[in-house]
Amino acid sequence: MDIRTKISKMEKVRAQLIAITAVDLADGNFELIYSFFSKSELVNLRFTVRDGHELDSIADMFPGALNFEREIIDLFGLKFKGVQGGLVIMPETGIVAPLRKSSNPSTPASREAEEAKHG
Amino acid sequence: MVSISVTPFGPQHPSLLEPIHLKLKLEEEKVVGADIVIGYNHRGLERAMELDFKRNIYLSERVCGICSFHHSTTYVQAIEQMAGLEIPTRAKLIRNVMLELQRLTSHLLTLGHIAEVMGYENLFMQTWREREDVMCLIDRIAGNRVHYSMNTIGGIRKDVGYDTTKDVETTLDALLPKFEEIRSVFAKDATFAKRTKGVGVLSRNGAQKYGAVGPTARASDVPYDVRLSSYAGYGVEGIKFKPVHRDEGDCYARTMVRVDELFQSVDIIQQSLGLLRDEPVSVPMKGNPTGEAFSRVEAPRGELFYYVKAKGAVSLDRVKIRTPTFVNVQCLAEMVPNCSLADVPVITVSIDPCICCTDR
Amino acid sequence: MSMVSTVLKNLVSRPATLRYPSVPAKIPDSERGRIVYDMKKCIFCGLCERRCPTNAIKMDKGNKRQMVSRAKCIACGVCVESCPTDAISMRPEYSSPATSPEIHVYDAKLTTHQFTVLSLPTFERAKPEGPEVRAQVQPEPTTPKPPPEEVKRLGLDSLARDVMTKKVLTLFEDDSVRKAVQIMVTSQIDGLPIVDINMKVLGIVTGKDIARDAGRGKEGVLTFLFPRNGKRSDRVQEDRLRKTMDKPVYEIMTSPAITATEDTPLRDIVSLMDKHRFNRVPVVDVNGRVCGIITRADILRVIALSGVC
Repeated sequence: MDIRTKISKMEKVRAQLIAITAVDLADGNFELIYSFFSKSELVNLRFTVRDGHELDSIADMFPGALNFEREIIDLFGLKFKGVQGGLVIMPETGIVAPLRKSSNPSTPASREAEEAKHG
Repeated sequence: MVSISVTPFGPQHPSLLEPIHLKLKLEEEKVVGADIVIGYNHRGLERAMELDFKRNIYLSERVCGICSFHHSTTYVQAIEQMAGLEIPTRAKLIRNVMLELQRLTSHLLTLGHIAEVMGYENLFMQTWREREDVMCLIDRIAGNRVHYSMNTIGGIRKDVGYDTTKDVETTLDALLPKFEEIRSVFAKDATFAKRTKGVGVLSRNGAQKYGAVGPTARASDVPYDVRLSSYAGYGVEGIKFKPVHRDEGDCYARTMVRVDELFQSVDIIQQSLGLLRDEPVSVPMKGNPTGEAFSRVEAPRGELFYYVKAKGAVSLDRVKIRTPTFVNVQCLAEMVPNCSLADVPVITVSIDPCICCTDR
Repeated sequence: MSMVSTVLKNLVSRPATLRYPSVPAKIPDSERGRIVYDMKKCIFCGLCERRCPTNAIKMDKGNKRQMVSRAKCIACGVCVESCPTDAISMRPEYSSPATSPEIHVYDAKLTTHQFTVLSLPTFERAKPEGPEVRAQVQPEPTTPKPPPEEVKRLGLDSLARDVMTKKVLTLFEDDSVRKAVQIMVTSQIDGLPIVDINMKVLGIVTGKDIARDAGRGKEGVLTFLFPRNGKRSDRVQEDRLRKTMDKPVYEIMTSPAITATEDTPLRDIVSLMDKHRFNRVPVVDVNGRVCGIITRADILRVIALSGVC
């Protein structure tokens, strides 16, 4: 509910949605950044969400957000109400949430996250 | 009772350069709906960019072939914002010139592709012939036709001499009359007008709803141009330009916006070359970046947006790339219904899809 | 406006395309192509290896070698900029395709342009574990080894590979004649093969070619009737010599060059030299790359050692 109330303010101002970014904070939390362009400047709204929590979709207010939400479902494994994944990664490949820090520890950031979780 | 059949358009199709899959719902020859599936070219570059921030200059160039310098500039701008570097004006103006030269090649490619998809092969060959002159000019300046590798964190790698600026000016002066010819063919040809006027209309409301960017939005009366936010050399005193926009919203308007932007690019290049002064072209960067930055650039297809988060090490925490076609491809759901099956390739190509950018 | 006028103009004018590869491609000088090492200047500091964005360069400090993986190099030029002694240069040629990933090894013991080629075994998928897995390089010899039971033969039956000099001084085709003369004087040799980027022989330059080009003039009827004497003829000679020194060697070289493979017996090479009146014959391996040279001095040495006459 928090997300939708803040973003409906943006809808009243007729802002343009630029991007929805998800960042893995490596301690079970994710940060979602909604970037809007309103009155000639960039406005960023940040929300911290827990893993496994089902999030509200804003696709009825901003139809262009559908692609971003589908991409986050594919790459991070988060859940949005009423939105199906399958946009960027095809289900036949069997790859699940590759951009999480805990998947496939081949980058230094993900290796540190692994050590922090176990050690 | 008319039955609805589903026809696949793509992922392999003679009119498409890159794989995209449209599931078209057809009522005899009329299209009533479309589902879009992308992801055939996914390479996982957002993850690969977390490894080393210096190597990413060359990796971000290779996200796309036609807008490669724009990707490189956006990434480097984000790192410069985090490090607080102020790059010299000469570097900004040279970046301007190369960005606009890449816009010329990209628009000429799209115009040729639109003509080819309609069957107008002569116009396609002529547009790409003019594009060759610009590509050879870029080859002489940067050493490669596609991946310029001219950016570094803090400016430009190698300075550009007086011979090169003379070369750019002579080539563009010789090209302007040829652009005039191309413009008159696109504006006045009867076949072209019949196939594009009134086809694939995107209303102003629709463009704002979906968040469309670039020439797709500017042809639907939404004058959104990121160059007005004064990144790179566009904020330098003496560079003046106005975004080109039209209000019909059909394929004809989108094509004509690109044709008019050719002249705008040549104008901006000439203005930038006139403002060059003698100074160094880069400032050194010390240490590793920390913090986060948002960076936006007007690529030929629309607005390119990068979010970079770093934590003081050589590796980065998160790199997010949002490309223009990612947003524009959703507008197809509004443009394609109520037109016939033969118009679908023309509409798809008129939004200028760059699928390797979209899938990263 | 229709395109009729443009179409008619295109119909009668020359085509806009080049008939490549019969006609050479127009490549500007600033084109970024392959990198080449000058091992005399390399100090093995390791900067090129550290700065390469794709890890294409591996330095072997113990054996004094630099290995460049051609498939990984993206021709960005970062190594050229970071080398403190200018040992790396970038040639404006593109890498030709190969059937397996190649590593070119530049050794300090070889001469300036020489390199040996290691072909990696066919591409294997890297295993997804922790730090990068370094590929096991199996150095395959580029030429077949001679069978071990063969006794070392001397005399006119020996093969070219036993007799040849392995250190070959070479030039690229756009080097100047002045550079050729410098090399000839400092190394006391008389002939240099001209090679392309892949070490394939394009021609040979000898002192005779240089002298012929410098002495050649427009001999016409008027020069015969009114021969030039005195200071003016000396000045004309000097101008001609200076012009020759500035020319690129491909204008004066003898081309195509006669070469021999490594397995050619010596008596065939001797008859080649006699027939064409050459003093030297370059030796090439199975891929056509230069790997040695046989001169009259080498043949005399064989005769002296074998005691034939």
